[in-house]
Amino acid sequence: MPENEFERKVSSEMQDLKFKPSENVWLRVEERIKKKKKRRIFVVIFLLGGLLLLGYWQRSNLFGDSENEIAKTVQKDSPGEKQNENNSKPSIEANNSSINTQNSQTTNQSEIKKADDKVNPEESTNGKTVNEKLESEKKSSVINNGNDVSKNKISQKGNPSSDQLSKKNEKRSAKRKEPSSKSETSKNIGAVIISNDKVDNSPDQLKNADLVTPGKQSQVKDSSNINSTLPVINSKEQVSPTDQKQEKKPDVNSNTTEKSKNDSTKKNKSHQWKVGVNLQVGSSNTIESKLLHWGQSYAQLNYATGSGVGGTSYNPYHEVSSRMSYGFGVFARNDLSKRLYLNLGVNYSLLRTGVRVGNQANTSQTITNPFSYGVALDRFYRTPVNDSSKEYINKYHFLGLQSEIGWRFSNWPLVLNFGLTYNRLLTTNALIFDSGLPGFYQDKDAFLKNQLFITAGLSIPVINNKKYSLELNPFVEGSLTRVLPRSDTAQLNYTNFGLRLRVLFK
Amino acid sequence: MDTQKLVKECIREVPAAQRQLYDHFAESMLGVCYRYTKSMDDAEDVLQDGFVKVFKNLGQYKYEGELGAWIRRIMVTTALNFLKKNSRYNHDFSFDNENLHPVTYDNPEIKMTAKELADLVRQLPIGYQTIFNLHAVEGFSHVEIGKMLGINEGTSRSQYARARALLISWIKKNDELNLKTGVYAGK
Repeated sequence: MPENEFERKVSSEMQDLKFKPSENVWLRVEERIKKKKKRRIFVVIFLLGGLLLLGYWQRSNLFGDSENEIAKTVQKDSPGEKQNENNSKPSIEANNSSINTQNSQTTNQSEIKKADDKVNPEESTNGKTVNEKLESEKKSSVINNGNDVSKNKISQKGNPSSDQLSKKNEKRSAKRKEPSSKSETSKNIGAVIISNDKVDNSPDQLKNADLVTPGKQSQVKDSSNINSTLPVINSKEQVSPTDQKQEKKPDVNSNTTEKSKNDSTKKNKSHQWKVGVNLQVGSSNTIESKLLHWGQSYAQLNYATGSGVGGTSYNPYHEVSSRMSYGFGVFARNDLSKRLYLNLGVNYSLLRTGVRVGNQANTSQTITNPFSYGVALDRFYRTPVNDSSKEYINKYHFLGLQSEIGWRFSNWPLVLNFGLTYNRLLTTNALIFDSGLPGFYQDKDAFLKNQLFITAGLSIPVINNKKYSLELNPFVEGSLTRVLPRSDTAQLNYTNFGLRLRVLFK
Repeated sequence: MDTQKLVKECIREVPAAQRQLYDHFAESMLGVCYRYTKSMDDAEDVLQDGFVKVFKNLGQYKYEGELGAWIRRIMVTTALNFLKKNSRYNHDFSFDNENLHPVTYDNPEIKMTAKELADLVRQLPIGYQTIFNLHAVEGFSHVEIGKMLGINEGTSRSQYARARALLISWIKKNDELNLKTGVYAGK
C-alpha cells in the first residue's frame, strides 16, 4: 500500500475524478444486455419448434396409417396387379378386410369406376357398332337406377346422351393403350357384382350389375340366366382357371384377414419403440468461438488473454490439445416412416482435454475475475516453464438427453443422423487460466452447467438379425453454448468426434 | 439507495434498477477508466464493457464489501484487458528497461485539480501509467500488480519508481510554469 504522502494525495485527488458519460454508453450497455435475453429466447423457441415439428411428424405418421392402408388396398385392386392375382380376390379382400364399411364402400366405388372404364375400351376394340354401344350404355345406365352407393357413384357421372357417351368412350379408348382381355374385364365386373351383392343383395341390383358385363352381353337375354349365373360367380366352383389356383387355399377370406392383420401388426411393430445401448469413443477438445473450426485450439479457458506482456517469456495463450473422450448410454428408437426414425436417449459422456501447466503452488489466493469472484484457492498451477511443464487432463462429465433423427438413404445402406443433445455438466476438474495469479486454478462453479450440443453423423449397419442390429456411427458434435459464461476473452465451445457403437434390440 | 434491493432487482433484470445502478456509478467509474486509457472514447468503451460484465456477474456479488469497490475492481480488470487486447496500446504495454528515468523520493505538493493530475498521468507511457494507477490510486501492492500483469514484483516496483519520478518532474515543471504565468496567484 502506498504510504508515502505523495501517493496519499494522488489517491485522494483521483477519487474525486468524475466524468459524465455520453448517453450512447448506456444505450450500448442496454442493447448488449438485451441481446443476451434474446439469445435465450431464441434457443427456447428453437427447441420448442423442434419438439412441435417432431410431434407433428409423429402424429401424421400414426394417424396417416389407415389412409395408407386404404390406398394400398385400392392399389392392389388395380388392373395391373390383378393380372397376377386371383381376379375375384381383391373384391373379396375389400369386403372382408378389417377396414370399416365406409372404406369398403370407397374400394367398391373405385372398383366400379375401373370396371366401368374397362367396358368401353373393350367395346371399341371389339369393333362393335354404334347401336351396340348405345345398347350396352343403356344397359350400364340401368345401374344408375339402383339405390346402392356404388351405383350412385356411377350415376354421379350423369346420364349422358348416347352421342356424348360414344364420344366419351372413344376418348377413353384412345387413352387406353393397353387393351385388357374380355375375360379379365368380365372378372373385374364379376368383382363388382360381388361387391354390390355385399352392399345390397336385391336381385334387381344383381341383374343390373351383371348386365354391365360385355363379355356376357349375349347371354343376358333373360333374367333367369342372370339369376343362375350370379350365385356361381360368388361360389368358388366356377371360378376361372387362374382363380382355381387360389382354391387350394382353404379360406380366401380368412387368409386375407390374416394378411391384413399381419400387415397391421408389422406396421404396429415398426411404430413400437425399440431399445438399444451405445458406446462411444472419440476425441474431444475445446475450441475458440467457431463451431467445427478445426484450426488451432487456443487458450484453454483463458480469462486474461491478449498478447503476452512484453519483455517476459510469459504468454497467456496456452494451446489445448485434444484427448480421448468416452461415453455410453441407452436409447429408444421409433420408426417415423420407412426412411425416417427418431432416437431418444440418455447418455453419459466424459470429454477430456490436455493442457501444459507448471508446478503446483500451495499458496492461498483469492481470485476475482468475470468467472470467479472472490474464490479462495489453496493451490494452483503456475504457468509452464519449458523444462518443468507437465500435462494436466481436464475432464468434463456430462449427462445428456439426446434426440436424433435418422434418415435412411434409399440406394446405400447408410443412415444420416442429425440431432440435438441437452447436456448437464455434472462435474469437472478443468482449469481456468488467470493472469492475476498468473496460473491455472480450479473452479467448477464457473462453468456453464447447461449445454446444448448439436450432433451429426452416419450410421452404418454391420449386423442385422432377428434379435438385434449393430450399427457403427461415426459422429461429430459440438456445443452451441459456451464453456464459460460470455466474456470477451473466452468464447470457447466443446467439440467431440469419434465412433459410436450402437446395439438395437428387436 | 438500498444496495441490496437494487442488486437483487438488477439480478432479476429489472431495467429501471439497472439504469439506476448505472447512473449511480457511471460518472465515478468513467473517472477510473479515464485514468487507464489515453482518450475519452476508449474510456467509454471500457466503461461499457465493464458495466456489461457488472450486470452479468452481479449474482456473484456477496454483499461483503462496498458495491462501488466491487464494480471498481471489475472496471480496473476490464481496463487492463482492454489495454492488452487493443493494438493501440499493447505495442507500448511493455515493461522493459529502455526508458530509464531517475528515481526521486520527493513528495511535492499537488496544487492541480484531479483532472489535471489525471491528464498528466495519462501522458506517461502506458506501462508506467498502468502501474502508477494500480499502485498509487488503487492501492495494489507490487506483488499483486506483478500477478495481475504477469511480471515480477521487482519489475513493478522499479517501473513504478520511474513513473513516479517522471510524474513528479512534470508536476514540478507545471508548478514552475504556473508560478511564472501567475496561475497560482489567486490561491
